[in-house]
Amino acid sequence: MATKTVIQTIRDTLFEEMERDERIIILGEDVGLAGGVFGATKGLQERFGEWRVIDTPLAESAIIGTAIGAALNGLLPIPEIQFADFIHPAFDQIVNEAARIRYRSNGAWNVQMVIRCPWGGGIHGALYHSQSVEAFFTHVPGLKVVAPSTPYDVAGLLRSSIDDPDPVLFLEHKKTYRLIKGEVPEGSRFKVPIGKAKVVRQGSDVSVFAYGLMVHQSLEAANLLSNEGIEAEVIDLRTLSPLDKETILNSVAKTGKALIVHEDNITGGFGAEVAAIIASEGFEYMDGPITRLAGPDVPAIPFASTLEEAFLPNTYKIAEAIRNLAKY
Amino acid sequence: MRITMPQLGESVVEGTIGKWFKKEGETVQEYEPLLEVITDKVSADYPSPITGKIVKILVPEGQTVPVGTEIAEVEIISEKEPEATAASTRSEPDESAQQQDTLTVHLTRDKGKPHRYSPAVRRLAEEYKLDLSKIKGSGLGGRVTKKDVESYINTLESIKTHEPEGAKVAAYKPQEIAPKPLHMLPGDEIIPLTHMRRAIADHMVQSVYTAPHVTAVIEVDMTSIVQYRESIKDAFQKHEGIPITYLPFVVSAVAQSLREHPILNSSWSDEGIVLHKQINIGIAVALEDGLLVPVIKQADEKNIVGLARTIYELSNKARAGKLSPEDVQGGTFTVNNPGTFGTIISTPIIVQPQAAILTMEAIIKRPVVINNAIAIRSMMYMCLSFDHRILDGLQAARFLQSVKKKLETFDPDKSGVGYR
Amino acid sequence: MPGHYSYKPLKIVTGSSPIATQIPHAVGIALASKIKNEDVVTAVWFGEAASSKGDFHEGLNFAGVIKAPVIFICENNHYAISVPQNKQMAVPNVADKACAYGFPGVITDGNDVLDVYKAMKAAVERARSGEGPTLIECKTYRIVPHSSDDDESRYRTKVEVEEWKRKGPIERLRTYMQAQGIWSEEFENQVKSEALSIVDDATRFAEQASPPSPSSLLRHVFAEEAK
Repeated sequence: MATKTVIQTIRDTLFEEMERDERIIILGEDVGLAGGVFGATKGLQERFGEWRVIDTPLAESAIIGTAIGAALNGLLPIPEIQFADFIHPAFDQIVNEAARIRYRSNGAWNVQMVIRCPWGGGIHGALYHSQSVEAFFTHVPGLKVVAPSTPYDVAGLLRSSIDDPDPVLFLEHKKTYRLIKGEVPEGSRFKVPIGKAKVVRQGSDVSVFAYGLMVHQSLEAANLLSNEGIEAEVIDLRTLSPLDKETILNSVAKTGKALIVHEDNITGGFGAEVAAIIASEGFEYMDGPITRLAGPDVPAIPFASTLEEAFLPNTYKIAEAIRNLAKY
Repeated sequence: MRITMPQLGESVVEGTIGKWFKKEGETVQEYEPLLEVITDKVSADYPSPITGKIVKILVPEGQTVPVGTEIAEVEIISEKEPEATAASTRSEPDESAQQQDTLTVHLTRDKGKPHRYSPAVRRLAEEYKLDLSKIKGSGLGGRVTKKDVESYINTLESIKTHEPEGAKVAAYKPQEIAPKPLHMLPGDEIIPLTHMRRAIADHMVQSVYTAPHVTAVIEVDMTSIVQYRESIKDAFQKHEGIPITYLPFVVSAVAQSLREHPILNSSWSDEGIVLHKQINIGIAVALEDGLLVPVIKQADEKNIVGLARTIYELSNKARAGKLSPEDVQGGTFTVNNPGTFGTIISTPIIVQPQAAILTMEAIIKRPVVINNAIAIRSMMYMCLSFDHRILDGLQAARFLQSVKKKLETFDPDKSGVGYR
Repeated sequence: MPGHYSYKPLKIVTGSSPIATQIPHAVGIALASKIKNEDVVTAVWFGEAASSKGDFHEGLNFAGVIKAPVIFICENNHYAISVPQNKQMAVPNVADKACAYGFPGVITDGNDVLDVYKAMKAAVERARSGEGPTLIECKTYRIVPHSSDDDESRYRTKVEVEEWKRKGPIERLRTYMQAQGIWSEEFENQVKSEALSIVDDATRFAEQASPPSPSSLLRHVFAEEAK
């Protein structure tokens, strides 16, 4: 067992996987010589060479498109999009190509690859270094989307994503990179299955569904409320697509009250999908309105700290939302 | 002012002092590089935020500290007022930029109307066949919540089980009656309430407010039992090792009578009167500062010796404070014996959730009329307080008659005393 | 949509409709060949309008940097539906753009089999020897409308079309072979009937194939469990 930060875990897991499977290549901007702008691929090019850890031109569509091609020809690419905010030029390649190739070729061709990208706010990244993009991609059949929030889950889910024969969008919340530490077993290729959420705190009063940094904020909020006699159940969704309906519905069957928390703008955000599932498949369990706590519908998370704070959900806002729902 | 470790990168949480460019005692200008900070992402020179003299360096070169840690103390020597720094990052919550939260929309729009039942509430009500209008709501706006229904069901369940909980009754707080203000007079003293006192108080209040009490009294000629007991009591003590009192005889008569009059061995519920199969008779044991009611389980299956022994054991345990939860749970009827203290009539309070309680009062020699002649007999009043929701005077009287008859026609050879 | 064919045994890769998306794919396939050290050259085809897209630029740029063993073949048939070349780009030749990516751009007469063959051969050798990509432009002409829905009278003249029809590649090859004395009527008939029978068989097969069952709609979203 070792205690590692999220970023250390990503780096170490990539290292182990590249040693284990020579088909794996990493490509992206600044991933090679610089080791990634966050250090996620530090030292990998020294070990595996410039043809397995490739510094690409600044061209997101080509990064993903080339990765698709490499996958079609038997390699296992892990392309990196430097910030989720820059994934949009590659949208066509991800949605129209990667997600569709198996389906459109009747199973003849498939794209086994993992697109890694840091996302999320809270680090003064402002308009173009703080975005959430999961809502666009969870909507796409043929593509899986995972968003782990702890070092253990990062390692386990990265391996599952690598093993998955279909394309996976692997979202890493950048604030958790150095902030969140955790125990990671060493010397074992343990995996966390794609499509399974985790109850990280049991409770009987309100179910709180979150992912990324919001999981940790929700846990803090739950601890605060414990002192007030309110026991919140916190679920880390971990995989957004495919969603673990069973864990979600089991929880609301117990509490009857659901709060969904995410950073992304509220309208059309991923929380809407979770809410719709609970509303249609968990209707009979509900004892209070299904509630979403999310970022407001403004085009960006601003740079000014006061505005960034006004935008993002945090421990206190989550606690207030849980409190109100518990009282209903 | 104190200089703190800056945050050099977007996700950086700590920094290492690489090199101090100034020593203690030296001056530094605003924006002049003050120290080199190293993180695993980037190294940078950090400029001083003010013009001043380095008073003390708090963190030496080479040490790593979290962002925000104080690293140096600087005395400001600038003539002009230091510019007001930007407002602290934690601002007052701005109502207009309120976090978008879909629940607040609900809360403002409809304040949880009391008779709107959520799907979870309706489902439970259907499953357990409940009348929701009878359940008080603790949710927003008086709404009946799922938890309200669940605790209501738990209360029902505890009534329905064959071992209803006698001693564990929730405190009842009558909200309609405001307590009268207490006037203290000179010389008054306050005795603090013990747990037992509070528990007894709560139970008594709840019992009286729940069940309409009526007390019926009947007279019993205990002469033959008195004579019988007198004749055996020494040998009994010697043989069985325990004393023989009148209580086992009464409990035995009561237990057999309850078999014949099951309505006295029941509990009230909104779904119907629950007739208990077991006859578990609680006997009140007086303590110095209170009372306990241990239960004789299946009293109708014991003979006099068995009852005497059980009563003896339970009383000792009660006085020693060694009763277990099982000893006080599951009672279906209670017998009290205030007669030992000399009273002749009582109006006892029912132990919830039972239907009735019976006291046996003092046995006193009295002149009575038998066959138109005066005789001296050992007479005892029995007082039955019953829950008038469950039964009426007729059933109460019949029950009392039944107990009286068994006691008055007591025949040691036929009654199965069990004494050898 | 006839463009979505593929055939894995012959390494014909699945293609789509967004134009030029296949170009980075080809670069990736070539990159993998290079990494695996396999003797494979990748070829990718697209129209002249594809050279207006970002993926064209991004794909060729990256291919030039890594010297990918790939051949970019542009079939310049002068029209992207109704938009003529001079509205598609400000340069006369697509091949001119190759200089921005550090490898040769070769112009060929797309209706001349041998001209194209010569250019392809050189490009294959270049790629095989590790020298990197080539952009081959085949100048040709779309003599039919873009699709059955396209009313070409709105953007070009019959005269123009007729002129190009006379420059068709098969006729030119026949003329050449006749001049070289390697053509005979028998040969032409044999080739024609062979071609026809392949096409007719395929047509018949497709027409007689039963429509897919509705449940097949749900297959191949993700890898299927081996049964």
